[in-house]
Amino acid sequence: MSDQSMAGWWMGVLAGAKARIEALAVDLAQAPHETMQIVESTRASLMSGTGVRGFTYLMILLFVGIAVEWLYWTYAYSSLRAVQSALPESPLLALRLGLWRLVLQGSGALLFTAAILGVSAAFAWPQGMHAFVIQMALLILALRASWIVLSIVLSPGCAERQLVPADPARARLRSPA
Amino acid sequence: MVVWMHAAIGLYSWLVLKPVWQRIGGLVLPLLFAVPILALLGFAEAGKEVIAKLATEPDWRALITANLRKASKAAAELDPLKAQLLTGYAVLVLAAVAFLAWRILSTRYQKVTVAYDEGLSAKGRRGLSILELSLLNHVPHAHVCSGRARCGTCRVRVESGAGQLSPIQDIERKTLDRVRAGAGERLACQAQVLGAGVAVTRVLPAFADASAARAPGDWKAEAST
Repeated sequence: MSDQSMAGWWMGVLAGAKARIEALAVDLAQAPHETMQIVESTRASLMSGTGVRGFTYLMILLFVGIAVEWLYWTYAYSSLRAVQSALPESPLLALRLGLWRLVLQGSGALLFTAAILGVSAAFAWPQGMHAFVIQMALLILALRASWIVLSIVLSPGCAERQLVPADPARARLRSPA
Repeated sequence: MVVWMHAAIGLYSWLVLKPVWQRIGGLVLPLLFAVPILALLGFAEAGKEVIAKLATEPDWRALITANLRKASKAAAELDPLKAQLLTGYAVLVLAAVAFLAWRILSTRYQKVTVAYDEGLSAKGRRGLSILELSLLNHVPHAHVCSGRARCGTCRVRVESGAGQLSPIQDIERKTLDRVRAGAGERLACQAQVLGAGVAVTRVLPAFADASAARAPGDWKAEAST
C-alpha cells in the first residue's frame, strides 16, 4: 500500500470515528428529552381507565407468580441447600449435582412463568397488553434460565463444582451467583 | 401493597420458626398472598364500575370533577412541604450511606480468617460476623432467619479464638437458651470476628430448614449421629 492510499485509509477511519462520536453525542443529548417523553407517555397511559386496569392485572400476576414459587421453595429450599453444600468428589458427581440444581432452580422459574401465563389468560386485557405480558414472562424466564445455567456451569467460589474449568476471578465476573 | 408485602414477609419470618406453624402454616401462607390478590381484583372491578358510572351519570361526574379540583388545589399547597420532607429524607439516607462507607473503608485492610470443620476457611474484613464471612467465601452455612438471631440454625461451636469474637448480647443469649445450645456455642450471625485464630465447627448441616428452629432437639440428635 502506498503512503498516499494509507493516509487516505486513515483519514477515512478517522472521519468515520468522528461521525460516530458526533452521532453518539447527539443521541446522548436527546436522551433526557426522550426519557421525559417515555415517562410522560407512561404516566398518561396509567392515568386512563385501561392503564390502571392493565397495571392492576400485572400486579395480580406478579403476586400469583411469587406465591406459587414461594410455596414451591418452602418444600424445595432445603433440598437445594443440601445440593449446594455437597462437595463432589469426581466430575461425574459434579455433573449430577449440577443437574439436580438445574432441576430444582429451573422448576421454580418454570412454575413462576406457568402461573403467570395461566392466570393471565383469565383476564380481559386492554388491547395489545396480553401479548406484552406473555413476552415479558418469557423474557424473564429466559433471563433466569441463563442466570441459573451460568451459575451452575461456572460455580464461582467452588472449583470442585465447576462443570467447565475457569479460574475463580473470571468465573465470578461471568457468573451472577 | 408495599406495606402489606413488608408485613407479610415479617409475619412469615417470625411465624415459620414457631412450633405453631406446623398447624397454621397451611392456612396462613395462602392467606398472606390471597389478601392482596383479592384486594387488587376488587380494585379492578370497582374501577370498571366507576368508569361505567362516570359515563352514564353526568351529575356524579360533575361532583367527582369538583372534588378533583379541590384535591389538586390542596396538592399545590402541600408541594413545598413535600419537597422539604424529601430533601430531609435524602440527607438522612446520604448520612447513613456515608457512615456505612466510612465503617467499611476504615476496616478494609484489616483482614481476619476463620477456620471451619471439613478443612474449610473464610477470609474477610475484620468486624464481619462468622456467617457473613461464610457467605462471602461460599462456605455452606445454615441461616434460616437470614442472620436475625432468631432461628439458631447458624450456630457454631467455637474450637479456638473465643476471645477474638464480639461478646454475647441479650438477643443471642435468648436464642442460644431456647435452642439449648451447648457450652462454647455461638450464633454465627451475631459473633463478629475481631482478631485472628478463630476456629469453629458448624453445629447443623447447611440444609437445615425452619424445622431446626421449631424442634432444635431433633436436629441436634440427628447432627450428632
